[in-house]
Amino acid sequence: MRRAATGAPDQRLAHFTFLTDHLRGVLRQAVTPDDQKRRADGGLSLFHRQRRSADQQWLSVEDELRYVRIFFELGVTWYVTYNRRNRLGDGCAETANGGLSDFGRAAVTEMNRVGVIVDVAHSGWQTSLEAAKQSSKPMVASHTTCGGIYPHIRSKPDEVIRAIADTDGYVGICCIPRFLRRSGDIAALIDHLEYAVKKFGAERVAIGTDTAYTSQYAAAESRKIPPRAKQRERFASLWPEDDFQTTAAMNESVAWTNWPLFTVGMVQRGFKDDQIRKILGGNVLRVARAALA
Amino acid sequence: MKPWVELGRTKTPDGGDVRLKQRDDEYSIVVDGVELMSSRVHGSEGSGGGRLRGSGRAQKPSVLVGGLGMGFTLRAALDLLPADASVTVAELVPEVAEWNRGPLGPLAGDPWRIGASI
Repeated sequence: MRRAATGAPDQRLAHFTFLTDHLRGVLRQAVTPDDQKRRADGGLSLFHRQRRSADQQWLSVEDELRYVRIFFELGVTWYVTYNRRNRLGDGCAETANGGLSDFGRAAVTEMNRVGVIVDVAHSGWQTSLEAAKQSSKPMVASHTTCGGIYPHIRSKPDEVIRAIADTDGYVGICCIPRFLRRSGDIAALIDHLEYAVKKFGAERVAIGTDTAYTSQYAAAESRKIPPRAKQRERFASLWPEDDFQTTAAMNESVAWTNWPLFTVGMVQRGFKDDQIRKILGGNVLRVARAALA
Repeated sequence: MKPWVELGRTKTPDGGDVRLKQRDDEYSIVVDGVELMSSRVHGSEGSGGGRLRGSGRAQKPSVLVGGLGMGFTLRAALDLLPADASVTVAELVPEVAEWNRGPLGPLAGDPWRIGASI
């Protein structure tokens, strides 16, 4: 029996309405009055993800594409795909690497028209390349790594980063030790930033942590809570098997609370102030403004 | 339950209510009733700083730390940067700097004494 519309658009809309309502004040303070004037409701697209786009209750292309506008009004940006395949294209964990579908191309065009930022962070490499070709506005991979340093499926190889850069977009380097590799810590994060800046320019690089803060007491506190029944297989099961061991020290060193130290790390490596400003937020604002224009 | 003791109170430039509280050896800074930071939950700063140590190439780096908080980030920055580095802290709330010269100072080893200008 088919599950009762889990993740169906109406439920997702309710969830994101709740989320964006709570973050509205935060978002308003993150942009300038000029930016806010571009939106009738005074908001700005939240860099959040619609992870399961248009994969259930399919009616028609037009019917599905109207959700692009609805989510935009709620301040939500869309992934093209998550890890698995959907009607838009192949996710990064699909070995077929099949690229963007016809509907995916229509969706990218609609996102451009409406003002939604196209994000291929979890998309397959071919999907990313084809989305970049399709997109008429700056596109991003908001939280990924440089495949030139370590080619995890969640990374983007140089060819894909170049395609994203050619849209005037950026790649956000994430803080997942397994994807970063090398030392798996803040030094590895800076390695990726440095690689991307040297190869593609500071205009093409940002930080997209993709991690929440986990306190040193989290494990002990979690053990006090009765375990929940297993609901579904974790998406991480799609990652290729390897022997990389993530340590608590790695995770702590790249916690978003260390954002000031990310800056210090860039200063240490000789990044210029104007480069750091772009990486810390200037590029994100540039792309957001271009999407809203 | 051990009660919190209020050690200090002030306002942010935009009128927010800031309070410094203590319970045993734990300190908390609360803004408008919401805990902003706790001395109990830290550690990432030291871990991050430790793992960056020795990876720098810049000559006489200059760093501005935005916000003193409880001093953990400042301490990590001072520990990892070379001796010829210049570190400045911008703190909007004077009382936070005072609290760091008082009860909060020992938490991160009095980093403001080491060589940062606030």
